[in-house]
Amino acid sequence: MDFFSRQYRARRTTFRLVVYFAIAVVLIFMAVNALLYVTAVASTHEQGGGTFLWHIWTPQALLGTLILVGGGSLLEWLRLREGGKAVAEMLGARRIDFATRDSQERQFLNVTEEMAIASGTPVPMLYILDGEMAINAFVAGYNAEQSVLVITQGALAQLSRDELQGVIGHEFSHILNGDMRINMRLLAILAGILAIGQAGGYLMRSVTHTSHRSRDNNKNNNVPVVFIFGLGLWLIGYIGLFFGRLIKAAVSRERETLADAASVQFTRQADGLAGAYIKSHKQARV
Amino acid sequence: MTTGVIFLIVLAVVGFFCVSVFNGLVTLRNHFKNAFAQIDVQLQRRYELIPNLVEAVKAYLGHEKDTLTQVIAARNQAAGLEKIVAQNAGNAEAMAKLSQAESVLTGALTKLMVVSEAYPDLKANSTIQNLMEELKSTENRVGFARQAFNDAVMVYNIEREKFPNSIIANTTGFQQALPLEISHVEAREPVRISF
Repeated sequence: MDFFSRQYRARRTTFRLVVYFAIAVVLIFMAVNALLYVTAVASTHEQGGGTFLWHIWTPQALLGTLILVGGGSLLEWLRLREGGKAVAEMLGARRIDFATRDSQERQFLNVTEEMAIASGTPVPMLYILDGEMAINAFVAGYNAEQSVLVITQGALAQLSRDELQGVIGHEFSHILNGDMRINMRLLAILAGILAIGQAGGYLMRSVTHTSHRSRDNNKNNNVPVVFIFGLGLWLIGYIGLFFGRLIKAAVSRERETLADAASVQFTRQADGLAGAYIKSHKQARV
Repeated sequence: MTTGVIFLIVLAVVGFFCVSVFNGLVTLRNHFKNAFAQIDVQLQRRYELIPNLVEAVKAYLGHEKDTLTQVIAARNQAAGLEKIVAQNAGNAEAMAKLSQAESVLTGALTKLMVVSEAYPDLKANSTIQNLMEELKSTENRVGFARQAFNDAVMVYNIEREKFPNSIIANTTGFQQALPLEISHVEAREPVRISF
């Protein structure tokens, strides 16, 4: 199978996985809805009418879940949108000057420019992590225009020109194929699902606290109901989170395969990237 | 009445599909045109860089005057022919002459790089190393630009030839794009370096 076919396969798999993710989110909505129905029937406030799928509290259930998931997602998305530059600087990386005279940095600049030409992507902002001797590189940023590529000093020192180019080609694929964006969106939705679990936990904790202080007989009726509702939300949230993370991990794996195949396409040779992986693997085992 | 509405809906869907295929082909065609122009950018960069590099290297490789002279001569030849091609776009003979001059230039540069590798004290010299890196990168960039063009041509051709896109493409005048190939048999021969 050539690298074009591998990329095609990886893209199809990602699409399927994202569909699964969407289905998981819909199932969560439905689960919350059903939970509310059960709670409403169990409590004294609801006398029946409606079914698991649609009852008089359904609109509120959907709205509430939407607000929780949407709000959690929005917060996470806003946080992640700061741009790649913030990430690079947070880690203490140093921006590489285009007019640098250091030969290693010059080579790095040239290799990156060559990959930019081969992939049809603009050159991202380049950073180096001085003092980090492990072989590593990553990209961050929401879109191609505000992306950064961070590489460790160890990578520049230990990798040959071809190996370095293989690694950078792999990173360029992440920029070109919007992998950071996919990652951020999945993370944002997962944060929203987590919010449901946290809301459930909060409900459970709050009634456990107040039940000690409550002397009102009326309140005692609602405490177990609210607690169970909270427990239900907590379970839905954390089970949803578990499966959501599984799917996200599978998506990440596919995108990594795609990036490897794209790197071979850009450099038209696999030895570089393979050599880099072997070197970094050897290093990790020491 | 309802059959009429259904017919209109089907027509609208087919229409949208045709428009989206057309737009997709327009986008891909512009991609490969851009990629072709990029090759020119890298060639220009190379033509401008070589004289500077040779000047800088002269001080160190003074006894390799022949190699340096060859490089400059090949560069001037190629740059001159490139100007002619730029003015007569589509002239096959001019293109053929240019690609021949280009291969001569590549051969001369390769010889220069190999020659400098043979001098261990020169190899250690960091200035020479930097210059050789720049030269290597320039050659690589031209190669990658050509590769990117060929990849863009492939993507366009696939999209153009797929069914049912092919029907739309043929009726709206999207022609097959030609990738860059080595036109001269001599250029396929490996460069022989004689000392």
